[in-house]
Amino acid sequence: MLRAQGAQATYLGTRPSSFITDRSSLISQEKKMSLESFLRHQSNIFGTDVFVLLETLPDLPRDESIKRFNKTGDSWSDQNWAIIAYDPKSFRSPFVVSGGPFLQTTNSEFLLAEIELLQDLSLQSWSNKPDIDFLARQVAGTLVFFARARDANVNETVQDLKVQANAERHAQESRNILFTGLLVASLFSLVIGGIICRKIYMSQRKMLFPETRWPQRLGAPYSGGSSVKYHFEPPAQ
Amino acid sequence: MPSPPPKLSSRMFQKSVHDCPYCSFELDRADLTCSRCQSHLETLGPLPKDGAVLLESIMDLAGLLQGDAEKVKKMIARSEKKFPQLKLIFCSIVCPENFTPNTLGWWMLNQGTNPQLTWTGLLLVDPASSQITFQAGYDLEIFIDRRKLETLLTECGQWFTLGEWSTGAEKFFQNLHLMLKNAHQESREIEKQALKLL
Repeated sequence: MLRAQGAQATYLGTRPSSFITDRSSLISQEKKMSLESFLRHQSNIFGTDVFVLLETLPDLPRDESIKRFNKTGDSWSDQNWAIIAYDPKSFRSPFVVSGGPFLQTTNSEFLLAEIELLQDLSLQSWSNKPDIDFLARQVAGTLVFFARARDANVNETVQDLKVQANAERHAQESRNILFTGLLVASLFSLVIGGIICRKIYMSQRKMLFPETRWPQRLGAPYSGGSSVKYHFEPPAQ
Repeated sequence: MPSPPPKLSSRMFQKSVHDCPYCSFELDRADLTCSRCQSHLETLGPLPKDGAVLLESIMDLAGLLQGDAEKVKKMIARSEKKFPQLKLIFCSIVCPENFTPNTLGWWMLNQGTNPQLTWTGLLLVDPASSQITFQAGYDLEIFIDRRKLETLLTECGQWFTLGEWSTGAEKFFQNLHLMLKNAHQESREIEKQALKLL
């Protein structure tokens, strides 16, 4: 259901003439001019279009909104692009959606993580409004980096690094397993060794009976005699 | 240097009563003569002062073991190694007149010239009268349970009935070894308790 009554959201229409559309007067005129100039420079020199939309947005599910922004971005720009859309009246954090040729060979995980970080950094602790100027500039810089990294095969390097990181992780896991195995084997050997040593010790150990005092019997100096005897059947001849 | 532990009375460890070797009458610990038959050691004759026999591990005077003496010797040596105080002897002999296996074994132990005679155990077999007896010195007899000893002699006798002299002797000393191990453990426990109380 559309929350906005009357005015249509900018992204639902054609590409705006300026990079910043601020219908909610969130940022000052000065900042707006400065940011506009920066974003134009990014577009002209680095081929990166960053659109900032500050207005009431339709109240759609997030996925649907992102889908529409993606479509819009592709129709507004044939370069690398990003749309930063923020509704000051809502409690949602700004949408940051990007696209363009560079994405085909970009490590999208890394890019998303980067953008998430920027969104977090843009939150101002003294205000409940994000710093859009900061966010826009940083997003633009990030897209430029990724575009240049693609050209410099850094993405492949990043991919390689990822592969390398995975390999290192696997190696570390293997080392851990090996270490654990060795530890268990050592402990087991120690226990077995201990048992064997104890058995050897016990078998070698001499056993001494206690010395006692005893009286002589029947005048015998060493043995008092015994009547414990047994009659056995003589063996057959 | 720590002083050796005090000698405890044999009463604490005594496993069995003693009977007169002549008439099997039950004796008190310190009877100088049997109260029934009035016998004592010298009833057999005076102890020889010269020519007393050195008791060896195997004294197969009746020739029962023949070539198998080594088996029995090995078993004896094992026990003597484990219990260094002890001396164990196997003797086969046809008892002379006026001697029974009991009295002969008793006499042999008391006339021997070995050291540690009080720690000596002698298994004597008389094939003529088909009797076996086990004699022990004062120090050793304390730790030998009479009932268990009777069981060992019974088993030994069963082998002798089959003509297996060396096997019977070997089994006897093997089982005696186990019996002594248990007896040792028990005696150490008793000693520990007794020394705690002193």
